[in-house]
Parts: sequence; C-alpha cells; structure tokens
Amino acid sequence: MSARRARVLLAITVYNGRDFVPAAIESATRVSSADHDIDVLVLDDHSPEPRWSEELAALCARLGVRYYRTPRNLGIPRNVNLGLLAAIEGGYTHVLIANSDVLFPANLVSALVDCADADERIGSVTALSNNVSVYSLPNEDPDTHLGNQEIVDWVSHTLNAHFGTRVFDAPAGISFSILIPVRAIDEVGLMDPVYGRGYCEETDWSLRSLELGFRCTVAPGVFVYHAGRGSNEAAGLVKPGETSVSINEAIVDLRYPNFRRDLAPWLASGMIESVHAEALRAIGRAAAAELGYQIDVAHIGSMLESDSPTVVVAPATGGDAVLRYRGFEVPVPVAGDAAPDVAQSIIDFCGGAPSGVNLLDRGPHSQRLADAFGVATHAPRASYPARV
Amino acid sequence: MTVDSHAVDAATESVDIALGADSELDRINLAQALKDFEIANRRVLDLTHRLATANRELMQARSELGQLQARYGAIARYVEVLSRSSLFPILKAIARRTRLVKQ
Repeated sequence: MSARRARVLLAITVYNGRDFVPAAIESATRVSSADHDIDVLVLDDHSPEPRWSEELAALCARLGVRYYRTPRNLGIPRNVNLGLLAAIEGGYTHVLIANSDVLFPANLVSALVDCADADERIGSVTALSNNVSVYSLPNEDPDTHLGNQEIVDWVSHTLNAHFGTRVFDAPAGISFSILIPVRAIDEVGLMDPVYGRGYCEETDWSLRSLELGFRCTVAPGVFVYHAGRGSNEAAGLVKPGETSVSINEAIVDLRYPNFRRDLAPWLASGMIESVHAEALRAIGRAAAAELGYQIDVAHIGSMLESDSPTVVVAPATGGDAVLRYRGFEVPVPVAGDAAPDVAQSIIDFCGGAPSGVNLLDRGPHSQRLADAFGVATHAPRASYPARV
Repeated sequence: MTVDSHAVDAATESVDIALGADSELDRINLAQALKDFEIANRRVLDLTHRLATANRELMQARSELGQLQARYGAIARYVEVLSRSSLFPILKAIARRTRLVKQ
C-alpha cells in the first residue's frame, strides 16, 4: 500500500448513455476508500437526450456524487480537461479519468495509486480491461460474461493478488480508465482541443509525457469492464464498426511521424501476449481453486453456458486441454499423451481433482481419461458428433 | 383554476439553469474556455500564415514548372524539325561511325 493517503478525484465523462451510465456511477461509489480519499465527479457534456440530464443529476444527488453539466457541449478532450483542472484546483494528488460505459472494481483506486506511487517517473497508469485497445485481455463475449459488478471485483482482485503493483511500459495510455498523478499534469499539461470531439487525445498526451521523461504504463493488476464505444457511436463520433477517428489519427501522424514505426516492434515483442497469458493463468487457477471445476472430455466442449470453470480435454490424443471460465480460455499445459499424465497435469494446474467428468465425445482415451481422474463420470449422450 | 404561464416558464428556466450548476466548475470551465479560444485564434493565425507561405511556394513552383515546360516544348519542337530534315540521316550515320571509331 502507498505510504501516504492520496486524494483522488474520479472524474467520469458522460454524454447521453441512459442505458449504462447509472451502473458506472453506482460502481464508482462502491470503489473502496479504505486506503485513499476518493471524490467522484460526473461531467455531463451537455447530453442532448431529453430529460436525461435531469435523471442523471437526481441519481448523482441520491448517491452523493458531485454532478456538473457544462453549459455547452465541449467534446471529450475539453470535458476531460475539466476533470484535470478540477483535480489541480481542488488540491488532489491524483485524478482518475474514466468513461461512463464501465464497471469499476472495488480495488480500482488503491491498486492504481499503489502502481503510480511506486515510481515517481510514472506519468499515467491505465487499467487492464476486456476493451482497452491493443492491451485488451481476450474474452469470448465480455458483455455476457463480464458485465457484472461481482465478477469485475473478483477478476480485479484475482489479478491484483497475482501482479501486485507490477506495471508494463506502454506506447500510450487509454483514457477509458487512466490514473494520472497531478504532478504529471503540472508538467505535461492538458488534453489538446485540436482533437475536437475526441479520440487520440490521450495518445497525444501520452507521447508528450514520454517526451518529458515520464513513463506511460498499464497495470495488469487492475481490471475494469468496458463495454466500449458506449455513446460515441450513437453520437456519430465514430462510424459504425470503426474504432477511431481517421482525421485525429492523421494529426497524431503529423505530429509524431515515428509513432507507428516505434509501435511495430513493441507490438511484435510478444510482451503483451505474455502478460495476457500470465493473467489468464491466474484467473483460471483461482477460479478452479475457489469454485471447483468439471472436466468435459470433448472435442469442442459443452454448448451450455456455465458460470463454473470447465476444463475441456480432447478424447483422441489427450494432448490438448483448455480451462474455460466466463469467456476466458486458459491453455492448460499437459505433460505427455498418456491419460494418467494428462489427468495429473490438469489436477496440478487446477490445484485439485475435478468435481465431475462429462464424456461428451467418444475417443480412444475418453474412458481412460475419466478413470484417471478418479471421479464419478456423467456421460450425457451426444446426438451426433460435435466436430464437423 | 388558471395557470400563470409566465410563472411556469420561469420555474422551468430556473430548473434548467440550476441543473448541474457548480460555481467552482463554471469558473474553471469559463477560464479554460477563454484560454482555448485564445489558443484557437493563435492557431488560426499561425495556420493562415503557414497556408499563405505554402501557397506562395506552390505558386512559385507552378511558375517554374510552366517555364520549364515552355523551354522543353521549344527544344522538343527544334529536335522535331531537325529529325525531319534531309540531312538528319547523314548526320546520324556520321555520329554512329564516329562512336564506332572511338570504341
């Protein structure tokens, strides 16, 4: 834990979003303030949805959250700047800028502040998420599996237990949920309004911070659920199916001609894949240890959605195994092809024996695998082979 | 019962103005908006200056291109006249033999 008690302003930028903003604000009020003082500020960028601002103001009043509706629409960069300036003027030590289509974990502030305070050269810390540009933790269907406060808390707690205050250096931060120490704002300045209604302004800010010697980091020990493009697509800021604004990318290219060239080797280094693999292993192991797990001996696995961890192991060779939990797919390393070796590898990985084995597909090893686990076998009869 | 429409309008307006009002953030917002406005104006001046410079360079480049195209056209026409002259095949043969002798 950080030595001093920080004062953190959690500024949530809002533009419309009646369907998802209340959950984000309620989530913000649940963030633990055990280690640091937190104030939540909702910055409504003059949302045009009829009666929405009134509802939002009432919600904020009920939750004890500071609410501000700007007299004119500012666009994301200038709305974010309001949050940065409010943090400076309010004497805060850190400001956390966040989108409104997110669910925050309880450990959001304590974990991010710990990361930021671990090195005074850190200029920003971006949280990990299912939807955070190239840093996104792979998940089969995040909206179905992760859009839930309890699971967000669990995933973030699990990742924090594994990664602690570890961060990795990144080419740019993402302002869907980014913590910035106020000392960094003092030197780097604000988001540039040249980016109009938004997109790429945090890339620009990050590159300016890097030029000044600050580190731009991502914290794999903090997980924020992000639906993504929540209000921006509806507002026409990004075209359907697109993820950025090309004219703003052109400005970044003009200002930082080497940015894309420098990005390529970082992307090719395999670092982010390595962090993802580590994160997925931590999630898989913790889920199996805490919730128990089942084995599906199957080529593809059960079609039924399950909230419980399931290890799918192929019946033919017994060589491949993958642990599935809430849309996360975690490869389970298996030593050898023999059924007892496969079973032992899975038991070692999961930290114990499975609660059941389902023989979904027949193969040379299916019964031997079931026997090797030494648990009762359920054998639902398949209507036809799962594999094409 | 009669309804005072002015009273209703005034009440609605006051709710609208009060919605999300925060004098501290209004002050910060206004101060920054004025700075943004000033910087935007400077950027317009700077961009206009750079546009004018770029336009002058473009005009100069176009002028030079036009002059070069005119010179090239005159030379091309001269070569065309020469190549159509009856002396040209003889001169060409002499030139070829001269090259062979040199080799």
